[in-house]
Amino acid sequence: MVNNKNCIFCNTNFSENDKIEQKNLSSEQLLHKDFLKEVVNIATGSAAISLTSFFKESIVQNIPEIKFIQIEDAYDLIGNLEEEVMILSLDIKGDIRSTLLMIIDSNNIDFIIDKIFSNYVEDKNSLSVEEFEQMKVSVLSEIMNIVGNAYFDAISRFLGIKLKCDIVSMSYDMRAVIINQLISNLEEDFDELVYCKSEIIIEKNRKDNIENLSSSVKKELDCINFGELIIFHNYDVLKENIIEKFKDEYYD
Amino acid sequence: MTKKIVAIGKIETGKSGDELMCVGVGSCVAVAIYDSNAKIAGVIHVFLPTSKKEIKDTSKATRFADIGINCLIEKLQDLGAKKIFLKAKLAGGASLFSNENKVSTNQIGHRNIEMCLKVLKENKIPIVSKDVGGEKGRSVVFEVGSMDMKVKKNSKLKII
Repeated sequence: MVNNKNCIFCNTNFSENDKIEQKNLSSEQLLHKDFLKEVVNIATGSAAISLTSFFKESIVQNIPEIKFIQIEDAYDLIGNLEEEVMILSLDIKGDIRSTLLMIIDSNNIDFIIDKIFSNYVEDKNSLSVEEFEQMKVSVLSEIMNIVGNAYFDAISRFLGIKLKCDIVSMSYDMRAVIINQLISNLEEDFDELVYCKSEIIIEKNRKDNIENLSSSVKKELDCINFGELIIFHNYDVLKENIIEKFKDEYYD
Repeated sequence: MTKKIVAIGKIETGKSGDELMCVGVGSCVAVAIYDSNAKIAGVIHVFLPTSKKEIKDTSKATRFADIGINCLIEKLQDLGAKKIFLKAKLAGGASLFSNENKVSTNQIGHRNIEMCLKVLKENKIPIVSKDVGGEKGRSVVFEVGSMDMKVKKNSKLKII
C-alpha cells in the first residue's frame, strides 16, 4: 500500500496529511507527492542554512506544501492577488527547466535590509537615497543568488542531476503576476501542474534552547516570514524525467 | 449585471452591463473583442503566443494567442455578433522581471503582444485602444455596454 510507504530519509509518512488536503489523488500521485515533498524539504533546508551567515537569528523552515493543480486553480493558492510584494526570480536549465521565485512581503523588506546593512555597512546614514536603493537591489539579488543556488545545488546533489542557475531577476508587483510569470516560463503545453511552496522563517528573538520550550512559548517568539519559495512544474514532464527514475531508489 | 473573472488561459463573454475581469495580467494579454451594435463582448486571457503542438483539447486552445483569439471570435459570432462590427481593445504583455543589467530575462510578454496584434489584423478587427508592454502587471476590467476597458497599473486607474 502506498500509504504505508515512508521516506527513508526522515521516516515521515506524509501521505496521511495528503489525504486531508487533496482527497482525489491517486495512489501514484500520493507517492509522487511524498517524493517531491522530501526533495523540496531538503532544498529549502539548504537554502535556509545558506542564510545563516547573514543573520544572527535562528532560521527555520516549514513543511513544504505540494499540490497537483489545474491551471484555473492556481490563483487560489497565492493569497491576496493584488497585494504588492517583492518577487525575486531565478531560472534554471539542465535536466529540468524551471523558475524559482522567492516572495518577500513588503513589510519585511526593511527588516531584512536593516539586518544586513547593520552587519555589513558601517554607516548606512551616509548613503544617499539613490545609493541606498541601489544597494537594496544588490543585496536582494545577492540573497536570491545564494538562496537559489543552495536550493538547486541540494536538489542536484540529492538526485544526481545537472542544473544550471541563470542570473537573478526581480520585480515589485502584484501577487497575481507570480502565477503569470511561472506559467509563462514553462513555455509549453501542460495538463496538470505541480505547485511546490516552502517558507523560510527568521526567529527574531531566539532562545538558545528553543527545543525545550513549550509550544505555547514557541508561538510567542517573534517570528518573521523571510520569504516564500515557489516553483511550478509541468507534472507530466517531472514525472517522466525525474520522479519515475528515482522513486524505487528512494522509497522502501 | 454579472461580474465574471476571466481565469488565466480562459474566455468569458457577457452582455450589456456585465463586467469581465482579469486580475494580475503580467506577461499575459487580456484581449477584449466586442460588437457595440449587438452589445456583446468577450475577453480572452492568453498566456502564451503559440502552441508548439496541435491542440486536440479545445479547452486548452484558449491559452494561446494564435488559436485562442479565433475561438473568441467564433464564440461571439455564435452569440449573435457580426464579424464586420467587431472591434478590439487589449492590455498586458509586460516584461515583469529585469536584472541589474536591466536586461529582460523573458521576452514572452512582447511575443504575446505581437501575436495578438497579428491575429487581430488577420481577422481585420480594428484595435480601438491598447495599453501594452512596460514592466508592471495590470488588473483589467472590461465593461460590456460602455465597452470601456479599465486598466489598473501601479495603483493608478486608466480607461482605454
